[in-house]
Amino acid sequence: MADEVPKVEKMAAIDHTPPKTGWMDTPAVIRPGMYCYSAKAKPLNILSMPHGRDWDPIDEDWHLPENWIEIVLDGLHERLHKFRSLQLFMDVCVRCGACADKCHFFIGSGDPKNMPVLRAELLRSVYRKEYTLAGKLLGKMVGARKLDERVLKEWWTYFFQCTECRRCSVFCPYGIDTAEITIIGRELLNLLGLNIDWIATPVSNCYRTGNHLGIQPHAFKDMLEFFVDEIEDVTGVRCNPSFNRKGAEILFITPSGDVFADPGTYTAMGYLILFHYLESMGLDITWSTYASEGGNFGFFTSHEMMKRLNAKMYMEAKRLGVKYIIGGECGHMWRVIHQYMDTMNGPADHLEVPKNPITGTVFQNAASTKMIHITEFTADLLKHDKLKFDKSRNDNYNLTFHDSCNPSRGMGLLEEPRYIIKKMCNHFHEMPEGTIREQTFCCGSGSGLNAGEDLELRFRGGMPRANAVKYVHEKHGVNTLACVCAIDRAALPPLMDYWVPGVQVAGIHELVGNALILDGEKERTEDLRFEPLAGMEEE
Amino acid sequence: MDQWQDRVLATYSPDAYRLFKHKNDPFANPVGSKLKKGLEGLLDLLLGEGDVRAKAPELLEESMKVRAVQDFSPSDAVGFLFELKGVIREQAGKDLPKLDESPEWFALDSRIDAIALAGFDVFMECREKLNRIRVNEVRNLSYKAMKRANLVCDLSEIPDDSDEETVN
Repeated sequence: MADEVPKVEKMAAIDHTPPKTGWMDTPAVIRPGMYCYSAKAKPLNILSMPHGRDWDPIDEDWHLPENWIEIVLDGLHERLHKFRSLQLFMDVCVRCGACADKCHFFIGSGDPKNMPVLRAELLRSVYRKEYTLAGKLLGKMVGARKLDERVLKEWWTYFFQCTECRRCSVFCPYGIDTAEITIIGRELLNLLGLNIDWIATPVSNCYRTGNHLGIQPHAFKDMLEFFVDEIEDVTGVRCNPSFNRKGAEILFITPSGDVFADPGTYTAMGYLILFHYLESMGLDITWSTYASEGGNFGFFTSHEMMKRLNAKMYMEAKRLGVKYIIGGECGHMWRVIHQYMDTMNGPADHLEVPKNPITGTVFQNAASTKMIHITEFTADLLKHDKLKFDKSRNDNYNLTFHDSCNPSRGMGLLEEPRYIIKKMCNHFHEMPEGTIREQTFCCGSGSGLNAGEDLELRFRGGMPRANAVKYVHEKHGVNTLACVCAIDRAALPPLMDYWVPGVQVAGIHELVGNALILDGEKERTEDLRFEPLAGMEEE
Repeated sequence: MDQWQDRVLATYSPDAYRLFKHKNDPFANPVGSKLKKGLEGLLDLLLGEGDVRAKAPELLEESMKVRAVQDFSPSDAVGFLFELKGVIREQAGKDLPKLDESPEWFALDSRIDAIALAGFDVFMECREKLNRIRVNEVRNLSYKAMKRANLVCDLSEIPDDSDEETVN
């Protein structure tokens, strides 16, 4: 018991407003649940990246190289000359605030440094100090500040609280792409060995074994053969995928998450079923156990690393002598292909413009990159009535579709997945406008943030997405969230578990795999998850 | 209601306050709309006749889910529920000294306390769920890796011989 019960007047007079300081005077707080573990020395050394060392973000001393300020400022200088976009983004922002309330992290957290404009100011303030007369003379008064350790730690904190989803850029009247600023910010941090483990280790794995998870060729093959067995159990039909087959017409590359992590594995089974279905119609496709990763975490590290990892897909295509590449349901792989590949490793002159061997459709949109998205391929087959299917097999699924950031905003893939869903399923409901298509909300775990240790960060960032799912779940009974991205398939199930229990996550080709009618199949009673089909439940 | 909402939103930054308070679209402003809906429900419950401890958890769920993933200590996350005492006292104005002694006032405070206790329960449930999800993520990953590598034995695939007659 308290000695004295406070009088009501006293209680009413308490000021509950927290003290406010300007953003420059509010240091970043790195707290558990909100940050990803730091990159260890080993993966960075494997990649020949500078200053690999074991360090802990929670520690006061990050063991920075002695001349770290010089390294960062030289790095900034180099990039300002290399990327005209960066110079433009540093100068042109008028701080109108159009982007401020568009970031899912700000919407979910209320932390002002999650406003894209302020996140960019973290870097821009240093730019002003170094490159503008006003900044040099007037400093803080004009939003300029010197680079010091506190600023660096703030960069690390907030550039790894951005999923590079580009929703903010949709609303910027100048077209400033804050994701590009984050990308450069992370590049500068990487000059000091300040990456996160969830990016550095996958990149190093991918560099050595061909995929983020470090699955070696024989294990990759084993896993796909495991799916072949599972498919046979469900359908009675045995698929016969080929691996590293020279002279095949098409190389298929998907994120390794589809091969390893549920529910992506069901999507991988869908690919296998589709390819088997088309085999007798003339599809000549092979998987690679070396280019066994569509995703590109190099994209979250540096332009150079992105180029290195992207190149392996094209080198493998060249080695096998294929005509073109079909890519699986992946997110950032497509942003890399669509926006960077052509000037990094392209044009891919050793390949041919993709042509669907069954319909004859020529994909001129991929005339230079020679790589098409599997939903473009499947939608084309459906458009030409080349597939026999029974959509009632997906009747247990009441779907909505989450536009994954990179395929939607990064390459404009909006209609094809919807077209396939509507063909394959009887129950589909869109989430509200402003939360889908170009304005889609991020899953909150992209750009390498899908680690276990930063769950609170992911769940607050994913809240706007989950909130829209909750709406269709309550209004239309939606129980399945479909998507075309492996990170989504990994990140959305726990997000749904927290915000909208009762909603599962599925890839588009899982639905295709369920619905396709295969020659010689047994009576289908279960879907690819071994769940009974609608009407087939045991009494 | 408006004052209470203001007090709650004052626990965020001024930039967040602007968004959470003024944007009416529930999809562009899920935090503001979830908090507002929760507060309205709680106020109705408080001023009505219902059993507070039984009904408060459902009304608190969305708000607590939000605050459980934001930068709040447990006491700060739940503390906004006590703010109502101050708000009501402010509203009472001149009549305050007189009311402060009355048994109804004490009863009202007790109902607010009951809501706050329920709030703490719900907050803890959310935190525990977060931790369960975190553990499940790790467990699923390692279990599936072992299963694919044929390192685990799935007991459901072994024929059950318990029904067979024992020879002895």
